[in-house]
Amino acid sequence: MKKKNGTDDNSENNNSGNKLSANSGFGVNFNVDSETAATVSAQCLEFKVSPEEFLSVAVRLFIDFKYIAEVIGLDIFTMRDELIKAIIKSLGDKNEDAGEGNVRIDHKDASAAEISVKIKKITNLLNGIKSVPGGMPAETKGVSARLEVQSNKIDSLNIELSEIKAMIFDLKNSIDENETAKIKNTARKAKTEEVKNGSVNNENKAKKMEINGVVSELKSPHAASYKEKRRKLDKLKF
Amino acid sequence: MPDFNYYDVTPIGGELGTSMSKFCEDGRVVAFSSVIGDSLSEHLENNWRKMNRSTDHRWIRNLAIYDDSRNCWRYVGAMTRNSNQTNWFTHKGVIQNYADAFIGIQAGLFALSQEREEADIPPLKKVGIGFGIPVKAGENVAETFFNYIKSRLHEEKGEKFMIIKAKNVATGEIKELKIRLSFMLLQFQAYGAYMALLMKKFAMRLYNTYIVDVGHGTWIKLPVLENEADINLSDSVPEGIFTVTSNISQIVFETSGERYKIPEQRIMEKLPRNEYQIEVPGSGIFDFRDILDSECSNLCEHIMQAVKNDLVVINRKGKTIDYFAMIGGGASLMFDRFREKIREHYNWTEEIAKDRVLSALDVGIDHRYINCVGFMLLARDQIAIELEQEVNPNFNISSISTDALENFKI
Repeated sequence: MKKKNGTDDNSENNNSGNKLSANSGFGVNFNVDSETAATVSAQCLEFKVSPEEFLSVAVRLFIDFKYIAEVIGLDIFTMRDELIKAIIKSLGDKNEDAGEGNVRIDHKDASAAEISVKIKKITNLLNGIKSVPGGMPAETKGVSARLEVQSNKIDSLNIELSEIKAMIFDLKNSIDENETAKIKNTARKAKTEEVKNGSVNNENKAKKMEINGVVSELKSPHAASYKEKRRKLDKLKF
Repeated sequence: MPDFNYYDVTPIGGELGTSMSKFCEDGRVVAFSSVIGDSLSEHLENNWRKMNRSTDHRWIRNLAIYDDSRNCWRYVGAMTRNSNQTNWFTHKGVIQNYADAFIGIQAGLFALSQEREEADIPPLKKVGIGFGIPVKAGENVAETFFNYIKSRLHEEKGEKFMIIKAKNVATGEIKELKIRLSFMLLQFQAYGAYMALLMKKFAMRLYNTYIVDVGHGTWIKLPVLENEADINLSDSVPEGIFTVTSNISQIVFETSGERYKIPEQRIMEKLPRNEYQIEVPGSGIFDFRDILDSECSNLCEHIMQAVKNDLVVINRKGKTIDYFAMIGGGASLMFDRFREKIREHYNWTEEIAKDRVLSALDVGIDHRYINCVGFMLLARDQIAIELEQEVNPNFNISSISTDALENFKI
């Protein structure tokens, strides 16, 4: 599968053997490979939902995250990669090179381990999104049609959405706390490693801002500016 | 082209609530009981003045407005303590009498102008009003009410003026004020809160907001989606803090073997002071904290049920709510519960709930006054649009005058 920007997405599973066939119920047939099917099954088990419900949520999440990615000028897969990289980098040891090749999470550190679990959960959910193949517009229309007639599904979908949003907020909070603690611990070393630590801190700060941006966008991806929408109201003039 | 007719218009916000009417101009808020009553005869009034030992001689506490439709003085707000017959401006979310409501607006404008004069600012000359009408009033009533107001104005050279003749009953002083009315913008009551949040909290970004206004006699729900009030989902339910306090009063009555009835007003007065005990003659001290908790929980549950139903409808439209807000006099008792219920519904963390469920305190205003401040901002925005200017979204409420007794000395 090609990403939107035309580059190969290595994390995609291109295994075309042993495919499962599915009918979306809206006249759209598609196949999924065995690994994707297994991922979907595992997610369904974990969240105790049917494959149809999972797919609805995944599509909705995909659309939401796609919008967020567009807002910050990335495609969704790059945004996912950047998000994970930013999180991991912000957890990296400041005394070491915080570059991509040398990132590490200290699993002896309880808070870092907790964060890594959260990252894993988000990654799993995002991996779930990948299982949605091409032909998105038709499926989106199908989901919209189903939304109109199945209000209970909408409720569960919204709860799922809230959960993923809540997880990201939770993650941001954990990172903020962890960051504060680490800044305190390294403050004593600041005099001797001023230059080196200073550059790392700046980088972490920049990555944190990216996460803040994502979190604030989650409130409403469509929040327009009132200034552009101001208009004369129907005033009753005396 | 800018319309320079709006250059000297002072924006005013106002609403006639079920228990209190509030008006706002710049940093000033005035609030008085939403009640009007007949006046004493001139002879009785003179006698009352001689015997009045109160040192609170403020206009808002002792206000009478001349009703030219009846050719008599009418007492407004706290002054109705001397009236034989009183009428509330609204009941169960519906304006009861246009003539009375007109006097309510006159009283609000006069009190604001008086506040300006006391701060060495010239009295009001020309105003544009953002006005909150009860949700149940409906669109037709808004227009009918406006036409009624228009019919009561005085016309001079094609311009409309409101002549207000007011009397301070405590001092006997009479003043007359002539204010030119430029426009009136009618909106649903809770919309004022949305405007205040939009300008102060949302940094002028449009977020779908669900407002719950818990008042004395009613609670109002108003979803604002994409800057528009959703009329179909808005409602005014005749249940509010009065329901809570009157139920407590009833329980006290039953506990005392149906011998002693505590007026609900006495319970109401204790709430802002966080006092939860009341003396019941013959039965001792009665602690109503637990009952208050239980009554507030019940009311909050009713509100949440309606909110959840509306959320389903809103979701079916493919829209979501970004923020919830609880305002009004009842919010001080109910807000924490409401935030917790919303948090549970969405399974939010405390942090998200704190971010998404707001109260008037988040924009630095008392729960009761956010609507009138918001309506002032609405009027200010409309004036700025006419002048083709950016609106100033800032406000700083520096003075709040109510008709409650002040400087009480014996």
